[in-house]
Amino acid sequence: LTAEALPLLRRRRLPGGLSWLDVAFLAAAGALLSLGYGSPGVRTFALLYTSLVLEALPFLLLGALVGGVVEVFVSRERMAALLPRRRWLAVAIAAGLGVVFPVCECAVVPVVRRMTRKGLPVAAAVAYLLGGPIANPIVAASTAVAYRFDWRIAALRAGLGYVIALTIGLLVGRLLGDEALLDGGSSEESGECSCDHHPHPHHHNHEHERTGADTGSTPGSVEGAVPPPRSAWSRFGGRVAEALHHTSDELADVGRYFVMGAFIAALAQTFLDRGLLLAVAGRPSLAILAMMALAVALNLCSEADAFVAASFQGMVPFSAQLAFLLLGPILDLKLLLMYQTVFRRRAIAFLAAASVGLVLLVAAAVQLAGVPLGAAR
Amino acid sequence: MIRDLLLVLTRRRHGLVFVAWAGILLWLVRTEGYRSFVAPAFGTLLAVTYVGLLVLLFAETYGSRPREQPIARLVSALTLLVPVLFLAHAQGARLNGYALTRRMVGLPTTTPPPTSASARPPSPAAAREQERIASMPDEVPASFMPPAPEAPPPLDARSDAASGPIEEVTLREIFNRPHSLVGKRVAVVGMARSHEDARREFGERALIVFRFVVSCCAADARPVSVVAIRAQRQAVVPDDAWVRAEGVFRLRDTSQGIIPVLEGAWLGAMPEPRSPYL
Repeated sequence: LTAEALPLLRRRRLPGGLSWLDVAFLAAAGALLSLGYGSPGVRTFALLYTSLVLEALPFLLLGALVGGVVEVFVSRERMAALLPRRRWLAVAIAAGLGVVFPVCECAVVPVVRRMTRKGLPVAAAVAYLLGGPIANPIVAASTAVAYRFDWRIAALRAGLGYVIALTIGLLVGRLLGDEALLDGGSSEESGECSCDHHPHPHHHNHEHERTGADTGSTPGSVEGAVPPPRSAWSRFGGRVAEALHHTSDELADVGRYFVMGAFIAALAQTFLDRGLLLAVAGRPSLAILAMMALAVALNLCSEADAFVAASFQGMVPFSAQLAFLLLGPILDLKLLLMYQTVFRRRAIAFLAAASVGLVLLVAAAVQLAGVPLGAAR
Repeated sequence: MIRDLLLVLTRRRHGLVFVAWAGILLWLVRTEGYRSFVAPAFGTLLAVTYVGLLVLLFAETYGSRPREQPIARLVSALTLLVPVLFLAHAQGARLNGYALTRRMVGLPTTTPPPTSASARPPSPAAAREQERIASMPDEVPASFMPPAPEAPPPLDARSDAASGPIEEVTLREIFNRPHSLVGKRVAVVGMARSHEDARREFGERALIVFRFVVSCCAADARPVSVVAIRAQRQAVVPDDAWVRAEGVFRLRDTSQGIIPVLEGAWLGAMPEPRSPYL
């Protein structure tokens, strides 16, 4: 590397504002398609990649829509009024919100992203982000079905998932605070907006009560012009349009990271030989680590991953299956990329380390306690 | 000129992405092509998503975006179209033996029967079937041709020792309730594949019949399979061919565990089912 090239590599953007990530992804996808066109491996990869994207698309859209609605219809004041005054209580409630709003990990990211912009404390945001996809009734039901209606396993997964989400949420709140967030949680005050449907930089309240959407002026109308009064329905229609624009932006932003993460996940799904697990199955500590690595690599939806975990019954100890069930919904390759739309890299590294550490601790405790669950098919 | 075009494309990039994805979804839903990728229940969800994308497309078309935007944003939007390229390449692809070899961990095993069903003496008819199978010579390989409707011999001629009706089951049922099927003549539909472990354990006439069970999408697919120990003089079955396997269901205690098998199995070619996954 030349001395001139090093500063270029350190920059996150290429000339012209191009993103390294975009260019590398497009190059990798092009190379894979052109070099392996028609081969069984690449055909299987294409099938799995498409499957991951099609499976997540409805939920990404739903999450983006909720995020758009939050952006336009929920003000910081309303958010503050909704939250308990005691921060730990807010975190405790957020970690269990999945019981009321059961969402998978793909849908929760855009929602949390917008809610943090509305003043949701980072600790509560992290708790909901991690707890929502595990501690929810749909995931509990699918876990029970996968384990032949053994509700103890479903309850154990949901309970431990809740505790892990709560712990990491509190840790992030205490150690990193709002600095964990990509925009420091202060985008509204600064007037910066991640969306691009406003034609010029301006300070606007994203409740959009003072923007063109409400007053009748189109975005981009002459500053200072007095807009004609509009009816309540017309104002509402304008705000719905704003929400849809935010939904589009959200879907494109989060979806971009998702398709990259799913690409890596599909590579692992296609080329990783699960039979290799048998080599470590006899040693619980290695089996736990291997199943955790598998959870990160496979990027399964939390509503379906229990069936894959259950297929390892009788091969790896229950502690390793549990580690798979706990880690997958909070940390995998696509989530690592999607988290970049919400958190700073330092915070993502902390989240990843804390998730791995806590799941490892829990799995080791379950192994040492000799919990007699999930032993055989 | 080119710069103007790029600016327009950049401004309308979301709309372009939504058009592409809405078109793909419409096509997948109308042709039921989505069944190769996700569980059948996803059809409704994808149809709703299609409508949602149309709404966003409408909002994009009639909403305003700044005229001048960095063209790098167009490149970012292009990443959202990469899955479309791979979707085109995945046409006609199914999870098959290639995926099986990476997802199947050993031969299919099950738990011992609660009342030791496999240790019970077989019924007289089943015992006759076992004797017949034991006395069979090794198969004579022949080419495997999908049989014409009139080509396959009647079932009676193929299994003269069989008794009772044939129970049509799925491989998932074999996985879920193996003990209730022991000793019965069952028929399953799946893909055939030669398998080294199966041959080592049960001889040269053994292969596996498998299928994938999908909960949400092909990414969470798990193989379910049964070892088919074939009767004599059957054609060689190419790997990943869809077959209907018929035989007497047993649980064999082996060095690898208790393995479900179809003894005296007959395999016939089958067209691919409407939903390739269970």
